[in-house]
Amino acid sequence: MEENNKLRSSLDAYLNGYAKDEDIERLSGWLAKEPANRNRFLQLCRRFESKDNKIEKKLHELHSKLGLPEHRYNHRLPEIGYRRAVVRTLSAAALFAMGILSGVLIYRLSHNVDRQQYTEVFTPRGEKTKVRLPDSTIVYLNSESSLKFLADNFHKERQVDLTGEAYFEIAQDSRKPFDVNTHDYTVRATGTAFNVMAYADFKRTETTLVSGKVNILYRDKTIPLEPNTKFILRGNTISVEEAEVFSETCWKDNKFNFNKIPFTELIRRLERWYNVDIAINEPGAFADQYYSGTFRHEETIWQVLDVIRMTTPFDYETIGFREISITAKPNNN
Amino acid sequence: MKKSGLKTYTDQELFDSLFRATYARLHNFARMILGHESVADDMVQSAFMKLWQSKREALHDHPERLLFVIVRNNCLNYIRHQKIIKEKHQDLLRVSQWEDLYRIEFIGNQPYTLIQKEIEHEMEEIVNGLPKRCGEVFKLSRFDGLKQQEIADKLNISVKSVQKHITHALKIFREKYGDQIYYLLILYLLLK
Repeated sequence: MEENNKLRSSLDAYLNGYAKDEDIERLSGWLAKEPANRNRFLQLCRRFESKDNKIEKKLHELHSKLGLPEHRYNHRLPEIGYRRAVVRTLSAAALFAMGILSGVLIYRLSHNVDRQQYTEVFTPRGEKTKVRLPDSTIVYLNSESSLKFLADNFHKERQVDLTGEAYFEIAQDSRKPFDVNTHDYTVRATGTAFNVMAYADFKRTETTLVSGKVNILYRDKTIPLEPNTKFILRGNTISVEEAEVFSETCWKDNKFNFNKIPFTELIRRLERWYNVDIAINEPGAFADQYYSGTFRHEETIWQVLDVIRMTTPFDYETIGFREISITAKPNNN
Repeated sequence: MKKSGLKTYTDQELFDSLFRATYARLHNFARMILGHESVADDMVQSAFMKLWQSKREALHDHPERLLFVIVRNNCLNYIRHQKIIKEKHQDLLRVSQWEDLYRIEFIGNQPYTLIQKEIEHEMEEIVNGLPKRCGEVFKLSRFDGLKQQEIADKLNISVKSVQKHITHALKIFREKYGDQIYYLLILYLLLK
């Protein structure tokens, strides 16, 4: 359409700095038409990054004036252009940011050795985010987790490195398997949905398959998974068990569900969810107790602890900013 | 307070990325206001320099906002001190239209004063600072465009008095504001 082309070229002119009065007028008119146009406009501006050599030259000039070193390798943020850095205040009401690469800052690292530039998405404790990868795969990243990948290479190879927990909705592509590399094993999938939990400080790591098919590549073994089953690695022992898909993946919908997990693990998960430090004064006290339940994220940590206390005799005390201490009640009660 | 992934990344990367993303259109904006290619360059470069040298924390919180405000203020200050007006470039209505668009991208919903408004406000303050009758005459003459005779009739004074008031007003301006004021006056009249 003629009108669309004119709009395109005005937008180009604006972004590249050669807009004239009529371009400004045309863009203003377009934005005034409906609010959706404004969002689209902002998106396009955020994504823009100049590839013009003249701009590079000016940047170098500026570097000399400021006494800044020239980087040996090109540090560029991904095609998203600039993005404001998010300094998030960690809080109990964790923000669940939706949208393309929103909520956390995406950067590129540069490795001096092999000139590769990784993109890393990182959530601090108490935060979750949702990310869309270059192939349109959606990843929900849970609290205290990190996802690393080579964005430039994604059209050739779909590989991500995960620490922490993430739920994947893989974009279908039978020509290219999608690999999730964790510290101990790799989950290989083509077009499926699954949850991987691989925190460094949990004694076990597990992958739950919701739909489709994945293969777990562990050492020299290839273990296929069927839907509604999960792969568990405890130390060096592997097992495949029936999974409770809802329990294990509802965190992405802001629900907190757990099924027959030991007390210490429950506490660790609460710590992550609510961004608090909980000290258990007698760690062995509830070793043989298992817990199941569901909480919505709107409930406070204290409400959750109160519920747990109904069946487990302990006292808790807030001993500092975001620090809680749990003490087992004496047995003669 | 822990920050998302910021430990591994440098301010310079943020800065460079911001430059590559926004320099061209900031330069275009400055050039539209000032008319000079090289001066526009200076305006925008010095804005980036200020961001780096004294407002570095802004890199982590809407740097584009601060950047645009610095560029806009640099340009405004520059034209305030100019004596010669190049009509095409300093047409404030035109400036306002550009500002409206840039503001959507750079400022968002934050408060922002158009250059035109700021100058209008300055003008009003100046005129309000005049002695009562003097100000009345001056407004009728320069803002409402009445002829000296018309003013005299309206206020029931002599034409000579009208002339005296206007001369007095201009004298006050010159003393207080130097050459600047002529520019502002002309601009303001262009607006009307």
